[in-house]
Amino acid sequence: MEIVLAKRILHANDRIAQDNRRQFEQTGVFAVNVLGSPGAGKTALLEAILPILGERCRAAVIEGDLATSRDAERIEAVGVDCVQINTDGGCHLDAGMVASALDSLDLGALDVLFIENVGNLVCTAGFDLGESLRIVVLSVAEGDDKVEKYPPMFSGADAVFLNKIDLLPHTDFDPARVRENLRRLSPEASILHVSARTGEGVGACAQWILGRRKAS
Amino acid sequence: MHEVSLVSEMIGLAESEVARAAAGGRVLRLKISVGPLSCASAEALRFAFELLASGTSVEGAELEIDEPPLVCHCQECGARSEAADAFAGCPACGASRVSLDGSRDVRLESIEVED
Repeated sequence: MEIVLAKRILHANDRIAQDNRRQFEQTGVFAVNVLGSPGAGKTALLEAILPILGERCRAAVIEGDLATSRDAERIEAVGVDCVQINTDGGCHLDAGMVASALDSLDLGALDVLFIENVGNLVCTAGFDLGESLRIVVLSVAEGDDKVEKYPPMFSGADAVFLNKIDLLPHTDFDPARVRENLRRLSPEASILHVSARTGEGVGACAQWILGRRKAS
Repeated sequence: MHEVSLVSEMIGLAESEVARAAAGGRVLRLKISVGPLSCASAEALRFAFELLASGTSVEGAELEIDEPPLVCHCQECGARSEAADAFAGCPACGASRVSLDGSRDVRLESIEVED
C-alpha cells in the first residue's frame, strides 16, 4: 500500500511561521528577518539603524546565536528591548523558537521587530519565521562572489545591505559583480551600500525599511 | 547542515501519516524529493536517517531520494521550465523575473507500507 503525501517536510515549521505571521498582522508588527555570515555586521548595523528608527517607530529585536547573550547586551545598550535565543549549536532559527521568544515581547507596543538570525549563509535560508521582509547583510570583507556561491540565501532576499563599504578602497571587491548577480538571481531585490562603522548609508537603510513597512 | 532536523521532522510526519492511514504493516519505503536549492545533501540525509530511524516505526525502511532538476516558473511568460542554474533566467523568454520556490523544498512524496 502506498500513502501519497507530497508534503514539505518543513510543514510543521511552515505552520508555526504562519501563526507568527498572523500574530504580526493582528498586532501591526512589521517583522524583518536579518540574515548573513558571522561577522558580516548584522548586529552592528542594527546598533546603527535602531536609534534612527527609534525617532519614527517602536522597535525591538530577537537575537539568535549558538551561545552567549553578547548581542542582546549590545542591542539593549542602545536602549532597545531584546530577547536572546540560544540555539545550543543549532545552525538556524526556526519558527518555533521565534514563537517562544514572542511570549517575552509586548507586540501591541511595537511597530517593527528585527529577528537577527544565526550567522550562516546556508541553513537559515530554508526556514520561514513568519517575517514580512528578508534582509541579507553581506560585507565587503567576505568577497564579491558570495551571491554566486550561495544562491538559496540571496534568491530569497528582499534586500542586500552591502556593509563595510569603507573597506572598498583597500580591496578588489567589485560591487558591480554583486549587483549583476543579484539582478539575475532576484531582480526585485534592492542593494544598499552602508558602513555601520562610519555611518555612511545607515540613514538610507532605515528609510528603506520604513518605506517597505509603509507599503506593506 | 540541518539534515538531522529535517530527517527528524520527516520521521515524525511519516509516523503520524502511517498511524492515520491505520496501515499496520511494516513501512517498506519512504520516497522523498530534495530540491536543488534546499541546502540539504542526499548523503547527509541518508546518514541521519540511519541514525534516527532506529527504534521508530520506519526502522528498516528504504529511503528513496529523488533529486529533481531546478525548475523555474517565469513571472513574465508563465512557462515552467528546467533551468541550468539559478542565474539563468527563463529559458523560454529570457526574462530574469522567475520564481524558484519549489526548488527549495524537501518533500515527503509517499510512504510504502506492507499490505
